[in-house]
Amino acid sequence: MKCLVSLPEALWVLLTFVSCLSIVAATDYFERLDLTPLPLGSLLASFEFRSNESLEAYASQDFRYFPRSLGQVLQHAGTKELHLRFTTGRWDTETWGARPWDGTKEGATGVELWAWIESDTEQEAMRKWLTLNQGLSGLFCASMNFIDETRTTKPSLSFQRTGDHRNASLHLLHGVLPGKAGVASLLDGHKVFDASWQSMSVDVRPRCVSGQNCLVEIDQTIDMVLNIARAKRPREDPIPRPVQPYELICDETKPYHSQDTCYPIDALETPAWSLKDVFGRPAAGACPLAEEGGPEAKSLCLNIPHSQGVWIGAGGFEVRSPPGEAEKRCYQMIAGEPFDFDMPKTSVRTHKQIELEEELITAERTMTGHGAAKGGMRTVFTNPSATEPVNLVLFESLPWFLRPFMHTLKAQIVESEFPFEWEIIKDLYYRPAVDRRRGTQIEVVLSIPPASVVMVTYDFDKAILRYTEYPPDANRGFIVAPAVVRILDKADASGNAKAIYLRTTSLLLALPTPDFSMPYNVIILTSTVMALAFGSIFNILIRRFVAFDEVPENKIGKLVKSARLRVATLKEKITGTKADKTE
Amino acid sequence: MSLAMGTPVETQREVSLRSRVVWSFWVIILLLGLPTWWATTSIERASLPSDLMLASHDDLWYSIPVCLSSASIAKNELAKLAWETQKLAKGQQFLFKFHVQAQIQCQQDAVTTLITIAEGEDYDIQYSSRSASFEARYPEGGMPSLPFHLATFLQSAFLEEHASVAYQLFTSGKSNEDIQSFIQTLPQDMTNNIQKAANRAFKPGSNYHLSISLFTAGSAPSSWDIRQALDTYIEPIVYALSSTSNISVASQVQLYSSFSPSVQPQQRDSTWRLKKEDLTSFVNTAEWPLSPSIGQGPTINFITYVPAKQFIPLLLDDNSTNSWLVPQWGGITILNPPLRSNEESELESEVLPDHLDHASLVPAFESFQTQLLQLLGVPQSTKLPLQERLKSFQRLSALSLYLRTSSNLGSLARLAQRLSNIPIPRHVLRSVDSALARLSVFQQCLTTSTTGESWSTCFTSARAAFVESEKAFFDKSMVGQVYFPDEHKVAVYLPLLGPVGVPLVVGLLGEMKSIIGRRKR
Repeated sequence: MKCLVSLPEALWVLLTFVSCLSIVAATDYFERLDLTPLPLGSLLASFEFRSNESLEAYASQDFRYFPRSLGQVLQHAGTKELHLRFTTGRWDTETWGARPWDGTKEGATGVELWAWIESDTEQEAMRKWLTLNQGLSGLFCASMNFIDETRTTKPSLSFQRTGDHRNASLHLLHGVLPGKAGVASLLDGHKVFDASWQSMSVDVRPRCVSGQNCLVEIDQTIDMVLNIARAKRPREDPIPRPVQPYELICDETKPYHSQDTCYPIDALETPAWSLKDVFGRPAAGACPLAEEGGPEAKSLCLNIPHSQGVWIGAGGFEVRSPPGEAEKRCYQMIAGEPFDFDMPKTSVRTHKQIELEEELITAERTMTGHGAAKGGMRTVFTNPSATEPVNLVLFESLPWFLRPFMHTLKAQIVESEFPFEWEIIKDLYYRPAVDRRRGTQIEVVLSIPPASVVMVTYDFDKAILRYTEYPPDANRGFIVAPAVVRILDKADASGNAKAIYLRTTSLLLALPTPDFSMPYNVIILTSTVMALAFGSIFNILIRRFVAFDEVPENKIGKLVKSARLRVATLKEKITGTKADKTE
Repeated sequence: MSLAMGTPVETQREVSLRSRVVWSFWVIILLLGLPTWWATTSIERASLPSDLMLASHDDLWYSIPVCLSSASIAKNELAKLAWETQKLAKGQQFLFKFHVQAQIQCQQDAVTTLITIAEGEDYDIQYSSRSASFEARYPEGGMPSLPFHLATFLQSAFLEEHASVAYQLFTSGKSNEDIQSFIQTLPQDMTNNIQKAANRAFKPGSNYHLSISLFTAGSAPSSWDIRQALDTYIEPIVYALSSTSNISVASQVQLYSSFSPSVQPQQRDSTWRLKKEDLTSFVNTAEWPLSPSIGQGPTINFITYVPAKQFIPLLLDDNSTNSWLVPQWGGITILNPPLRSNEESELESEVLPDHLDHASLVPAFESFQTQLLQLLGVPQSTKLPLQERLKSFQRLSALSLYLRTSSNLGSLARLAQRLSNIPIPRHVLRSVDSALARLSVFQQCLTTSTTGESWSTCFTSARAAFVESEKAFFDKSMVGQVYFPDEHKVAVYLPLLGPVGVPLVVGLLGEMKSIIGRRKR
């Protein structure tokens, strides 16, 4: 838990829920919490903390709004733009709707990192990238130092620079470390991190206003889906207990419903909650020096229909969104005054729910085939829209021991209500793997026709690893990083190009795994065979062979002979007397 | 053999064939098998030049360049004065000698001590910070005894440097009888001071990071005039030491960070007091972002703490100043900024200022400056001004880099001798060679340097030697294989060696026996 100290401010603050950080000039610091109740008693909480540092102060290491340790790591590794994601859990598109931030602030399960590094040569860029990973690994207590060359790719279509850069010699490097995220595991045990899905992001990019005032912007977000009932458990007594029979809501339509049988339906009601219930304490009031007026000042927003009532405390006042816009209400808090509200119990039957945005496309990736030698990858895209085709880039970064055959890459429409011919694969960027040095990188530009299900498949071979390359828990399988889907040609309300991302789940690849006592067995078996062969040959060579009758008897032979003689006479005696008696 | 009697007699050919078989097997095993096994399983050990690494150089001495200049004295007169001063200054200080030279215009550099001579009313030597040199005056006609006065002045002013050098050599085990007897003649308080200063300071190195932090208990103040304060108090020192030490400076601001919960200030009159025993636990290591800076070298922390409004003013229990030094870690200052009146709210009439201006930072940074000098190990002598002490420190730190280098190399050599299983890769040998080469350059340079320019080459070679020796000593590839001992190797091969070895040995024994039997007959 020592590393908590080194977490960037926002992550740290989340734990304590003090809602204010480094601040001074209004434009240099911004913070916001969006709360959206989701179906099935869940709550999406999105924190955002954004601060700026002037490029001058950043370069001379006078950090005010920027975490010093992170700034020093970035400068040490010549990193100009950084995007770091920690994600755990799976976003349930079917019940929760579209992803927060259009998926731009979330990463693959585990750690995902991409950065633009300034350097003259590729080798130097790689060296700096490894330095960066090691530095961040120490800072976040995550094993990011395992993002080595084999896990690093150079995406060409899937990621775009978002900062303003002056220098041209920047190299983009992307690395994924699938598995349990370091920070997430670190923060385990805290109530707040008892979330069904959570994602943390850190984005650092240079920003230039009118080409003169250059700033370094750090944007930190934390999004999580909390189960309200679980979050409401008191901190002192977090043990879950079965619901009392009288509290159960039963589905009375079931034929077996009776006094003592019950089919519980717990999804219809969202329990009452307040900030204190969910986060353990009320908001500490507005940040004294964040912007005091305007839309940026309302740092707490609730995405609920206007028809729903909320009891608010004295520390803030409510502003509702004007008609025509999505229904939500924001709260302007007063500095130094704690703020909380009470959300009454709501039920699907009686209360209008906020309409969740639908995802533009859903993607599902699975592995096919059986056996330890071969397999296949299948990605299924579903375009729910009846009219709009979706263009996207499918980015896959595969480990080197998974060897895809590109000639088997096929895209086919499995199911469609769209009657015309459609060219699905528009473009393909492929960088083959080099054993033990780098992984495969595949970027496919796809176009999914409206109201269709498209399946993209390819076959692969599983490589056999060297004995020492297996991890300690080799039989568990190897995690294949999720695929990143970037949806193209989408514009926001004001007509600017908009980035929308989604990620598939990570996969577990079972490789042929040896028995790990094998080397010792092999040593012993080979040694035995060699010793046997050697011993018999050597004995034949040095022994002298003579005929049996040529050898005079030795002492043991004589002894054996006399003993045998005695036994024979004894036997004769006994059998002889016996014979006499019977006769 | 028991079959000798009665068995058919073996032909000579058979006997010799058998003995040839046994011996040839043994020859192949001894000449081919064992060396192959040895070569394939042995650890790579480059042969280190242990003698050179362990060699101690206790006959160490150097020269302190002194430059005399005068506007009124003729050139040859001045040269004579310099020569006489140098001759007289050679006294009990045997670890260095003064190299006095005369010039019309002396150049300011990292090590040279400048003395300007002018006529005055009486003999008098004062430091002038304007010209950054000593100004020596002599009465009319007092020229002949001026060398004596200058020599006495130099000897007394540099006594502490001499004592520090002697102490350093003594603690690093490179002292001889002269040094030991010299240390005994020193006044007790001087040795105590040197010892205390050595305990407070960081280990000498070539890289340091300064991390200057503002921690506030509440939300204000949240900005400070840090650049100006750094430029005034810290950067001049960093620049002055740049030839021996590379010091990087970073600053940060952190709000809502309170001191350790175990520290409880006591209220007395209208002030809050920190107890003396709380000072050691004041730093909240769990929450304050004090992680060491990236890169080589230690991080020196300086903390400015602004307490919450209700605890202002927060003072130390007994001390008049509000700052204290944590040995080998950094310095802490509690800053009680003047409150500002607040018109916006009726609840609080006075609040903490949002911004700390330069004037309010002055006391904190003045103490940081002295603390920095103490932490680096700059001599604390009262006789010399700061500029001269920094010059003295550069010489001392070059010397201590040299001592640490030779101690690193010595430890590495002893380690390699002690642990026979430790691998010594080729690049470690390269680092050692380069460190040794630079060390000898430094030794050469130390005795011959008489000017600031030649001293700067000493500094670079001392730093380079130190860096190389650290690289060699802390090379990570040397630790990896230590835990794979010879017994382990034998154990793995035992299933092969055992069954193969037994018939071989039995065969050899039989052969021996028959040879002995034949001899007897």
